Amino acid sequence: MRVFLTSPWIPEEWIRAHGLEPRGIWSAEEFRRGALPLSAGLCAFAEAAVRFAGAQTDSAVIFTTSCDQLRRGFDAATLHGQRRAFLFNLPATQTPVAKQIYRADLERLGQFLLELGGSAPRPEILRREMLQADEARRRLHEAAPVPAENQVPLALVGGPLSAVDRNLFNAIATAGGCVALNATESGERSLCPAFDLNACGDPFDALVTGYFENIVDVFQRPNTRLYSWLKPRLLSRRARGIVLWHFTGCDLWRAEAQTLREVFNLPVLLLEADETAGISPRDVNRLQAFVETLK
Amino acid sequence: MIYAGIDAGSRSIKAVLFDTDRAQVLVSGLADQGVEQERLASELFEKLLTEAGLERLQISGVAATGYGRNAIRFADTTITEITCHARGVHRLAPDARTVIEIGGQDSKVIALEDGGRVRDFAMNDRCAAGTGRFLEMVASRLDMDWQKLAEVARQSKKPALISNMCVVFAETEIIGLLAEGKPLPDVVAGVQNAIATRVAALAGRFISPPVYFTGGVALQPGMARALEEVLSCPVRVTPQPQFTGALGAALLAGKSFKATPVLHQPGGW
Amino acid sequence: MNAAPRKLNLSAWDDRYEQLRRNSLREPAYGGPLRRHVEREKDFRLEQLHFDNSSAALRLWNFLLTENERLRQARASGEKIVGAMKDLGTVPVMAYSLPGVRAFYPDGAWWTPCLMECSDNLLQQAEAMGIDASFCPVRAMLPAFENGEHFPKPDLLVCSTGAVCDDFSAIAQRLEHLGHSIFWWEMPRRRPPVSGETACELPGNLSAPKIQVDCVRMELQRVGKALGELAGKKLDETLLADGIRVANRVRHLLAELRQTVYAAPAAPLPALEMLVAEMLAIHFCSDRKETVAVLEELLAEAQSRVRQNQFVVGADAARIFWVNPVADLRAMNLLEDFGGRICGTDFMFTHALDLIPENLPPLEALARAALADPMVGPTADRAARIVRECRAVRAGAVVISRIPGASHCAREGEIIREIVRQQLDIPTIEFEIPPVCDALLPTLGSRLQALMEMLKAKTQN
Repeated sequence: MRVFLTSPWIPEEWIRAHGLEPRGIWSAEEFRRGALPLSAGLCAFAEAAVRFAGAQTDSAVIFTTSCDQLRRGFDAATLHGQRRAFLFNLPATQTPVAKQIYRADLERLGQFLLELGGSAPRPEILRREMLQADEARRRLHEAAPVPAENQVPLALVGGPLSAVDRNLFNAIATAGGCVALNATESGERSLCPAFDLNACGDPFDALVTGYFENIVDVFQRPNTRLYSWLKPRLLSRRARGIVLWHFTGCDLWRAEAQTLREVFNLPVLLLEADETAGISPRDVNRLQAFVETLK
Repeated sequence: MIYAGIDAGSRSIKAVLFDTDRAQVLVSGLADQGVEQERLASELFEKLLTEAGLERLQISGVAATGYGRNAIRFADTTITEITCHARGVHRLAPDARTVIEIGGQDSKVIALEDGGRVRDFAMNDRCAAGTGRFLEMVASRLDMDWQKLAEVARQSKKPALISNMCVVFAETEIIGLLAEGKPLPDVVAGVQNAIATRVAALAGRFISPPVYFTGGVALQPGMARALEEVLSCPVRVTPQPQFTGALGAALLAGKSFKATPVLHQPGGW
Repeated sequence: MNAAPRKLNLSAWDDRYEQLRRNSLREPAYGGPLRRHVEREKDFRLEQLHFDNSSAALRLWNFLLTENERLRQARASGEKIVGAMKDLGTVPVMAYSLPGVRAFYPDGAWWTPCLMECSDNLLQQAEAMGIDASFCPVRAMLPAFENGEHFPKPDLLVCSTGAVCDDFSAIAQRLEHLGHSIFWWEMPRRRPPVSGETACELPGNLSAPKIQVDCVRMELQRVGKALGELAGKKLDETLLADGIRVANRVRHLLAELRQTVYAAPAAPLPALEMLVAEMLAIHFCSDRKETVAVLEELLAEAQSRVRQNQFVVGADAARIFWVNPVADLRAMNLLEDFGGRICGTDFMFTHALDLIPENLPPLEALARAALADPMVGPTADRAARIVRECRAVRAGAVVISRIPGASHCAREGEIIREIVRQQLDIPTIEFEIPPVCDALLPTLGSRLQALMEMLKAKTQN
């Protein structure tokens, strides 16, 4: 059975250790396909997640509390009895209490996975999944793109990029840019460092620590970790501009635009994703203009 | 007794004279809306009286509805268009449980109970994206009559996806699509779908069949089908959809009148 | 002194004030004619509002409109000022338990653009600071912190985060990036206990697992430590228990006031004054003792009117349950202008109206009270309370006012409406109210009129 995750901060290793198949919802081919009837004020990502959850008969969807839209999206998804949906409490702070909340919810998620038909995770299975995930992440880190000489290196920062938005990379390349840093939710930012399995006897402890202490996201309070993570990478990749990718109605990312400009002294282009999937001619136009100004 | 209903909409004024004794519409008419709303409504009213061979004194009551209703000072009462459209549609289709009304500058979804009473409603009157204004803009841009748009849309094989929420910017998008070589029928069908999608978003979980479609935009063939596709249920167009508001107003002006089924005769609604 | 209850505009209140003074009106230090707020603080909106004509209402309005002035006076006399952000009704209880500490609610700056009819330019200034009109009017708080023209800069800023609304969270984070240090504390998203978990009863007929209550308690302990360091005195259990008792006095008064007004056959007090009165629950309008006095006077006035069968809105007005506070105070007058009256409310802080348990250790009690926040849990819980209260007060309809840009509104309203429809089968309408709604009066009026028509048709059948 597939378990679709709406956030990279829910350990996929934990899902695998239960014998189930985790997938980022943003990578599902059918996610956000076609136009969504969207009421004013609703985020297209959250609405798509609600509809996706409603359409699943043999898969589950894990929502998180990282934003209002997803929290209430979960409320909408479960209003009519959808039982294959779970709301994971992702804490905003980084205190010991917050870590306790994260751990407790991971355990509660485990109960949910068992109810779905998963099997109780054995420590050695979990350890194996964690090591495999570490290796996969290490290879992804090595695959980071290097801009060609005539391409303008850009940082792509923001929310999740769905399968339908993939042509954004082509649009940036066509405009003469290159994504030197993919700091979207479905990009490099969500690649946790390797687990310290030796420090913790129980791999579950290492899993909790490894994820919780490496969440880098806009919803955190304070979100200084996001800026600390971005700074060295923007410098080392020589990014000349930031493309801020966010969904219409996403206050959390939109509010950071000015701070990103001020902290990094880089121009910021806002690209909004709405209920229509894919990159629009308007977005292409903006990207071309942005890259031209940076050349 | 004879009652008059005047629907002072944003784009046109509609009026109906209804005979409660014979349970039928005597005459109906329409005029373009303008700045002097009361004068225009009065002229239309007088014109209908002449057509019906009546004097003002023979009219037992006048109810005004629509965006400009409060400007019609000669009306005996004003009633919102929600209540009037609900009443008018119920008169024409007593089985209606959901009414979708798309006018020139707004759109509404009205949920009805048994007996035609309004149970709930939702309105969009702040954004042109789900209204007749969008079609008007497209027709104007393509230099064609807006009724012709429907014929064009019927030829579509794959409606284009119009992404913009704003009618003004959607215009730019449409030009872009045509410049890219997108077939005109697909673009026009895409516009119809965009309007239907907006209305579906307004409707939310409101929709309870049978669904009836009324208002000026219902006159455009293809719009009902676009709504059906988005709502995944049959959508029927009321007869004379541009007059249901005025009809409802006339019926409500004579509060004691009880609805009877419509006799389907040519022109007799 | 006691005129028949009616609503007056500001000019009529000038005369009424003179009449009250001639009849030996006694006012607190912050008292005076309402008009002075227009002249001194440019609260121009007062000229568009209609107010209750009682001296109790005068006191209430003067109390609200002098808050910034009183906070500055408190600062000048050496008191410490705490800005309690987002959390509605918990941290202020703790802060006021300490001597020499006052808490206020910077989010309350959201009403400044309305009161000053945008002459404050706070919303434009917020836009220049990177927070534009796609955010809720609370964004007015941001430039208010920077320019210091409204409330004094607090000595400590405390803000809840986690299961809180996005735009407030984003605005507060922007504030921190601008150099205002914030003490963040985590609020988990309330959920029902699952099998195997110990359940804790919360006020408002809710429950949550013990692990969540424990987490909030530990967070409030951290907050208490910070408050104690500010005050130079430990916030111990005795102080906190006393603070809870006084807070409960306020909540008890409000409960009586709501019961008296909402259950009456007609409205003894108007909707606008009831909105302002309920807001006192959150942070006591920066003066806990005076809040008690204001509410006692308001309650006495309401009770007297009910006894004498004197009402400011008639018995034929439609009974409306109102959900969410309004960015433009004028909207509350509008409801009554169109034939409605408030018979119940949910202004997003119903947990601040419930009594804090006094039979538990104080921090535990506060944790449970905080977790009962309607915005922190499932929307269905909020809807369930609305349904219960609608039944109790025989509400004819529910009006949900959306706050422009507020991230929670779009989805919440949809869910609440569906549940109300299913369980009560009464009409619900939803509309957005911006900080100055004058341009929208025709469209708001149409919706309210349509609602009244629906209700009238229902009663006739």
